[in-house]
Parts: sequence; C-alpha cells; structure tokens
Amino acid sequence: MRRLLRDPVAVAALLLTLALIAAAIFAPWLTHGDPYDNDLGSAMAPPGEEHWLGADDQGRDLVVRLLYGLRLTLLMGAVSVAVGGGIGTLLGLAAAFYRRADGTIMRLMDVMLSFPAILFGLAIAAIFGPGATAVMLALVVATIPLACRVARAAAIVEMGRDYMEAGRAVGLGDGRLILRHLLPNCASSLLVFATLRIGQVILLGSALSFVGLGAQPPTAELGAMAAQGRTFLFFAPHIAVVPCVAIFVVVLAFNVLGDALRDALDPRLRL
Amino acid sequence: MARHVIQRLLVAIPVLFGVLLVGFLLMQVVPTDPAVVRAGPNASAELVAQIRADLGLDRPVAVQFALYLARLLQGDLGVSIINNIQVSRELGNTIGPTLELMFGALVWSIPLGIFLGTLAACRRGRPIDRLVMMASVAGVSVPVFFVGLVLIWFVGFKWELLPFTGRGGPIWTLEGLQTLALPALTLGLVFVGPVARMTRTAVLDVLGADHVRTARAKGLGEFPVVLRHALRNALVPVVTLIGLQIGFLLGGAVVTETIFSWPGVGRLAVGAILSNDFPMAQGTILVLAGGFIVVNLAVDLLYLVLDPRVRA
Amino acid sequence: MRKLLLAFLCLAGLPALAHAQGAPADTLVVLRSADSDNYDPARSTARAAGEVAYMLADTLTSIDWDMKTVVPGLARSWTVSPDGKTYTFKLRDDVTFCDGRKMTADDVVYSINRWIDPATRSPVRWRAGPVKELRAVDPTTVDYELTQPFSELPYQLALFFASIVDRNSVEKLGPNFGVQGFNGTGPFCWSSWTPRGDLVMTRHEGYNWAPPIFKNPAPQVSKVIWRVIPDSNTLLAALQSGQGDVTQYIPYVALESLKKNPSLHLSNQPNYFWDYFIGFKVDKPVVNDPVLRRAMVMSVNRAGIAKAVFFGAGDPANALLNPAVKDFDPKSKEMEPGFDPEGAKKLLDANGWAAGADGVRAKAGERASFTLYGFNDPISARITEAMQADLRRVGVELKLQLFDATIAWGKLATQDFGAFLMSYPYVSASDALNLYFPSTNRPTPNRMNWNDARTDEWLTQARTSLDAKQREEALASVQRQLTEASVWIPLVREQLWLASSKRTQGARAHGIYGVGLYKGLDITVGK
Repeated sequence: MRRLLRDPVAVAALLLTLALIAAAIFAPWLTHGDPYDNDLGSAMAPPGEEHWLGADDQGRDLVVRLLYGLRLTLLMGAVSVAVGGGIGTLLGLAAAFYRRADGTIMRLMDVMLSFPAILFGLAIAAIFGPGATAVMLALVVATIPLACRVARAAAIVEMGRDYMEAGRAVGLGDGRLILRHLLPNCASSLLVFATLRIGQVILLGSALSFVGLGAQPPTAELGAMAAQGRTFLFFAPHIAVVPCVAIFVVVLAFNVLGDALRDALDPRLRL
Repeated sequence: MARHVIQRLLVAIPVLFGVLLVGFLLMQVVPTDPAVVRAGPNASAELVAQIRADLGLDRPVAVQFALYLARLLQGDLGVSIINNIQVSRELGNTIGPTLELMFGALVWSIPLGIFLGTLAACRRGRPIDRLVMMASVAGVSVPVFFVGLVLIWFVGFKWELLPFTGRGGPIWTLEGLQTLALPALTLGLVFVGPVARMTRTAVLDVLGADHVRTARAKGLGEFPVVLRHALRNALVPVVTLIGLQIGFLLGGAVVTETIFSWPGVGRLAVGAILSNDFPMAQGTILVLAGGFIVVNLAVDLLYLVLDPRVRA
Repeated sequence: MRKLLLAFLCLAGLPALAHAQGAPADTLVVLRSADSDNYDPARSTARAAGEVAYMLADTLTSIDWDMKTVVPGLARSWTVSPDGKTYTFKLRDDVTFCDGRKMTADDVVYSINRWIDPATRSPVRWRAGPVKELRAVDPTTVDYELTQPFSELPYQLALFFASIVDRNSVEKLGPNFGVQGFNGTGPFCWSSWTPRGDLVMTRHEGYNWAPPIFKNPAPQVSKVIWRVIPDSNTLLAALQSGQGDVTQYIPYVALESLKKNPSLHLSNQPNYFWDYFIGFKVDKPVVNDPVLRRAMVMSVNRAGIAKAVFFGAGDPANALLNPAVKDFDPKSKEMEPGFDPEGAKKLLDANGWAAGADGVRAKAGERASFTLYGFNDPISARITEAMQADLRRVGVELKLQLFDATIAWGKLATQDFGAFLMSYPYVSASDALNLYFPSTNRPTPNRMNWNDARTDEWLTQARTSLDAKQREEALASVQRQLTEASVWIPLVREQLWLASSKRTQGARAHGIYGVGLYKGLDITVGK
C-alpha cells in the first residue's frame, strides 16, 4: 500500500476515483436540477453561464444529467462486477479446490467466453427488452468466466502452499478452508481484477447503449447519453462529447488505479 | 506434438456443442413468436399455426434442436424469417467484409503494439516508457464510437482524405482499400494499447530471465538480445492475449460496422437479433462464436511453434 | 493531432491519400437511412420499398406535383360508368418489361388480382376498392368493376402497391420475388440487392412512357445505387463530401446549414402530407376517459417539439389533418385545443383526477399511467421523450416502449398498450380517415379501437358518394367528431426536402407516399 501512495499518478487516480464515486453518491445534493425535466426552448444550448456544460437536445442541463448519469453508470459497473466477480470467484476457487470439477467448470467457462459480450447483450436484450437491467445482466455473464480464471489461477498457486495442507491436516471443512483461507490469499489478484474490470465493463456498457440496447431514454446514463448525443455530433458536439469524455475519464481513472494496484500488490498478475 | 494437437481439438468439440446449444436456447426463450413475425400483423390464427408447423416450431424443443443440428451438418442454416434469404448466403456475403475489417485492424495495430511495447520495455522507467504506457491506458479507456466519429469528422469529412461509408469493393481493389482504411484505423486504435501493454510486460519478464541475462553478460548488445531472445519468448503471451481479445475485437467490430455502414457479420447479427430473425441470429452467433473458437485453437497451436517448452 | 493521424495513415501503408472518391460518373447514388425487408410491391408497405418500386415498376395512374391531380401512367386515359362502379382504363401499347416482353391488359389484371388476393396478405388491399372483377377486354383495355362506387380509385392506383409486375418473374421467383429479382416496366431494371447495403438498378433501355409530369420521358442516368447509411451523421457527411448524390433523409438538425451550403441543392415539396400523431386506445383503462385525453392534448408542447426535434423542418399540427389537404374541415381546427398545461391541470382537477403522493394523478383508484408503443427511430424516440416530460408536469405518467421497425408492426397489432406514436402519408381527408377510423379496420390500422356507427356511416358516404359536396360534409362531420373526442394528438407535420449534390441536376421532391425521389427521371449527373 505504501508503495502505491508513493506513486503520484496512482495517488491522482485514487483521488479521482474517490471523487467520482462521491459525486455519484451525492448527486442529488450537489445539484437541485431535475435530470428529467425538459426545457425545449433551450434545446442544444451551448456551454455558457446558464448551463455550464450546455444543454442536451431536450434542453436538459448537462451538468445535472452528467452527475445522475455518472451515478447510474458507476452503479451498473459496480453491481455487475460485484455479482459477476462474486460468482466467478466462487467457481474459480471451486475449480482450484476440487480438481475433479476443474475440467467441467473450465469448459463451461470456455463456452461462456466463446460469446463476445456484445452478443450476450444483444441476446439478453432480445429476451428481457433493452434497458439498464439487460446490460447489467450481460455484463455479469461476461464477467463470470474472466473472474473465474483469475481466481482459479491465484488459488492454484495458493493450493500448493503449506497453510492449505496444514488447514486440511487440522480437519477444517472445505467451505471454511475456501472462504477463510483460500479467498483472502487470492484477494489482491481479485481486487486488481475488479478495479480493471469496472473500467472495461463501463466501456462495454456504453458500446451496448450505442447499439440501442442500453438504458432507454430518458434515463440519465453516460453510455445512453453519448449514444443519443452522437446524432448531433456535428452541430452541438457538446451533447455527445461531455458524456464521452466522462466515460473516458471514469474508465481511465479505474484503469490507472488498477494498474497501480497491480504493480503494488501483485506484479506478476497479467490482466 | 500430434497428441497435443488432437487433445486440443477434442476439447474444442464440447465447447462448440455448448455454443450451439446456448445459441439455440437463447433464441428459444425470446418472448416473440417467430411465426407471428413471419405471418405479419394482419394474419389469421390458422395462418400463424400453419407457419408454425411449416417452421417446425410446434415440435418439442429437443427435437427442434436435433433437427437444427442435423440441418447444420448438411450446411443448411435455414432461411431468414423476415425476407426469406438463405442464412448461409447472407453469412457468406458478410463474413468476407468482417474478416477484411479484422485483418485491416490487426495488420497494423499488432506490429505497432509490439513495437511500442518492446520499446517501452527496453527503456523501462524512462519518459518514452511512461509515454507509451500512458497512451496505451488512454487507448483502452476510450469508447470505440468516439474514435470512429472523430475520425469521420476530421479525416473523412473536414480534410476529405478518405471515404467512410460502406465498402467500395474487395480489399485488393483501390476502392475497397480506401473504404476499409477508416474502419480499420478505428478498430485498430483500440487494439494497439492492449498489445503494447502485454508485450511490455512479457518482454520485461523475459529480460529478467536467466538465459537473457546470460546473453547480456556475454556482451551481446541490448537490441540483439531483445530481438533474439526476449521478443521471441514474449510472443507467446502476446499471441494468447490476441486470441482472447478476438471477442473484444468482435464487440468493437459491431460498433465500427454500424458507424461506417460496413456490411459485416456484426451488423447482420445486431439487425437479426433486434428484428427477432431467429435463424439469422442463430447463424450469426454460430459464426461469431465459432470464429472465436477457431482463432483460439489456432493460437494454442501457434503456441507449440513459438514455445519450445510446450512442445516438449 | 492531424500530423499524428497522417503519420498513422502512412505507417499503415494506406494508399491514395488523395481526395475521397466520389461516385462514378453516370451513376446516381441515392442515400437513405433504412432498407426494406423485400421489394415486392404487393407485400411491403414501407416507404423504403416504395421509393425503389416506383423506379422498377409503373402504375396505371400517377400524381402531379400538386399532389392533387391524377395524371396518366401506364393507362393513357380512363372513364367511369354513370353508376360510378366501373372504371375502364385504356392502356399504352408501347410498354415493355425489362426482359423485353410486351405489357398487355392481362398483366394489369394479374398484378391487381395478385395484390388483392387474400393469400398475398397485403395490409393495404382495401386501397384497391371493393373490387368485383377485373377484365382484360382487349390487349389495351381493362374494365375495373367495383361492388360500390369508390371515388378515390384513380388516386389509389397511383400508389406503388398497384405496380404492374411480370407474372413469369413472380411465378419463377416465388417468395424471392423482390428479393432476388424483379421484372417490371419501370425506368430502371433490377440488377442486385445486398440487404441493408446497396440496391443497384440499371437503365431500362427504350423506356419512354413516363407520366407526363416529367420533361423527358426517358431515364438519363445509366445506373442508380440505393445505399443504406443508418447513421445520420455519416449520411450527412457522405452527402456533403460527394459520396452520395441525393437524399431525402436529411438529419433535420442539418437542414439550415445545408440550405446555406453552395455545393448542395435543396428541393422542397410544399404539398406534402406526412403527419406524426399519438393515437389512444379509446377502450383501454385511463385513456378511455375523454377528459384525460383532452388534458393530454393540452399538455403536449407541439410547437416546442417541432422546434427541438424537427429544427423547423416540421410544423406543429394544430388540427386532426393538414389544412392544405383535400376535404379538410376548417372548423375542426378551431375545435382543437392549443398548448395550455395550466388549463389541463385545472381540467383534471375539476374532473376528479387528484394528484397522488408520487406526483401521478389518480381517479377512482386508477393511476393516470399508461404505456406508449412506437418505433425506435431517433425522431420517435425524441418526440416521445419530450412528451413524457410534458405529461409528467401535469401528473400523467407515460411509459415508453419503442421497438425495431420489423417487430413494431406486430406489437402495434396487439392490445397491450394505451397509446402509440406513428407517422403516415396521406393525400386526402378521405384517404386518411378511411384508413384509420372504420370499425371494420380494427385492430389494425384502426389501432384506436374506434367503433362508432355514425363514423362508419359518414365514411361510407365519403367513399361511395358521387357528389363532391356530400362527401365534403360527411368528412367534415368525422373530423369534428374525432377532434372533440381527442382520439389523437396530432403532433407534427413533416416537411419534405430533397438534397442533391452539385453534380446532380433536376432532382425534384415529389412526395407520393412519402417518396421524395419519384421515378428518378429528369435527373442527370455530371462529373
């Protein structure tokens, strides 16, 4: 950790990430605007005194939309990585622990990996209808096999360590052994994975929104806002550029932080 | 070596079967009835029932899947329920352009990524390393469509350097090459970053390895060392990464194909799934997932060529 | 940045950094945003099918640029029997199909019969009128007999559904007619089609039987490419950089700047009737209350939508139908309430729709909340989004479900929604009202489930009456009745603009069934 704090870039990324999370959480208190109330009179207003970042095609203030969009985007990223990562981790640990299940689990993961995330998004949207939930579900499914691989790789190394042997010798139950001993020792790999994955997941989500499967209008979500704003890219570029830049900054912050975490915690991890 | 190859191929079969099954089942749970779609909004109930029978939709799901597999083995992918065009024909028309796009994206981004990654590794900690790493992190953080739209606006529209709509022809014609340039640039740009990062890590790993240190100690210069020993060994993880990233590339391809009206499989898949064109959707899924499996197989086999340890 | 990009381009070894190539000479590249599922005129009702069908095939009649006068097409002339039930069409004798075969009365009889055959399942076969029988009297004479008079017939036969097609080609290609091939008498012949890509057609050599509204009866370009570009920015940039020659699918936001662009020519059709409207299912919970419907009409800021969504390329609709259309009733315009959200709130307050805790009004335990179905094109999406905000302000909750065009038609045929957004082309009051409001047209196209005996009677009168005055009165009654009941919220009237590149001469916006580039005649392309 101390190594992390010595790197100015890492510190900057950490602070930026924390600031973004705080802005997302406190959005309703940071602004009094309503992200869904339109004002057709000021549609596409350029950045200026009245609207700092301009207004979108429905005349909604982009600062307000951005804050609420950030909220939903981060929530979607966090939830899908938490759920997908959780399931994947358990599977990965199980694969490492029960060698007999390894082949089956990993083949299953291979199948899941054979579907590019964008196809999951399309298929899930076809079943449940497009929306934030469909995107999250697709991202969860796409995250599971990756988390599984990371957890398995880390756990296999740990399985060879003395403490596992010792634990078994003392007669600890499988569940306890996995959750109390194996999992904490894989935590650093998983933390690095989760941090980097949030960035990827947000990018993937915005790509799904771009194809029309993401959060539906008028929901304030960065990917959806960018997709909507792209129609006016040449005439009112701020509508698309503001959320695009926001996505870029968020993803960049998570990626830089993830890199720094990896260098500090687990330099051998390849992600 | 032969045993390894066969083993690898045998493993791929259940995976392929799983892909087929999942692709089939996904389309089964879609709430829209293909017979209704095909019959059109004003169709009578009898007509819908008849179409359902014609399409075999009234049979048990397991039978439908078996029939689907049987037809698949004969190369029959069915016909689109929207416009009656043979799925195999549509796929045949779109696979080429998608492969062109992928090739066009990879042909410059992989060498460039490897070059930048190696450069960064050789100059570890220096400004050039920092610069390359920063650029590659930025590269993997930017949405594909943003890159595409910026390129269209500047390169295509403002400076009128290159066309940016549709496909002018096959890749070996001038028109084809011109229309391919911007989509390939867009898709490739998001690929340089990951390749550079992976190469850098791999080269650094190898630079620390014994035989490289020995080579250095023997007085060989930096560049020959990197070239002869480090890069060659580093290629293994890089190739793996590229195999894994084909899925990511497909996602990017769907978006890129949409922006540039590129007539590829990605755009076909999106259209088919959005319009509930089941046979077409299944066909595209099969091709995309199948392509991914084949690429990964190829990567595994390439491993054998590149990495003497696996060969042994 | 620019240098960097150039360096990239050179690095990748990409050739030809010269100017982006325009379209080849003597070829007209038409840009559009969507493709059709097929190009069989009897099986598709899409505008995208129509614009192609008009070039590949001809119709018996045609419509002049004024959108009112019916002019000859394949029929040189026609007469009506005194009882209004039999039309006799005299055909041209110099017409051939693309494969060289001569067109005769038998082809006309075959094509119309195929269109109205229940097996063809054309959703618009009512447009052919109540047909009793079609007879080929001799090779150039067709008797078109109806069971009831149908004064609209000559107009309806100008629509592309009534295109004359070659029987042999239809029978040979089966369901692939209009997918893998086509044989018609139009100014251009089918060459190839890549779905969602290019549709290519070549000049029909010897064609000189164009409707008299064109200066030159023969096509002047040797090849036409219809190219689909779904992204509006890309389409726009393609037009401006000369990769396409003509389009009617201009992003509205760009219209003003395109007007100022000296390298483009814009053609406007003032007599254009294509309206966006909201229809309510009048027998579904909450939207079955006329008071609520009226309050919603008052809450929606139509002028704001016309400005923010259409950027001035659309006019707010302040009456059920376009005031310029034939048999429009001016009184119905006065009856249509204007934008008055405060008035709407008062109206709802006075009628028992009390505001609830969540801001949504309720009456007798039912929340003022319903689902709207529509298409997920950018225009519909933005209209409904604006409406949603407008209605939210007066305490009505609108839930949106927009679908891809291929599914939307099926979804719109169900009873699962309270309201829908649609846009449609029409040419007369009778055309529009007879499409949407006869009780026999439920569930589609009468998706409102409007079922009223008086309406049916008036509409029948309008269709069958041989007296212009009587017809006008009957249609006026319907317009007033529907306006009073607030069955629709007429939203915006689209304008038709056809943009063409500098090298393209003579492109003029027509607008029949929404088709801007009608037949592709009188057009030349230079270098």
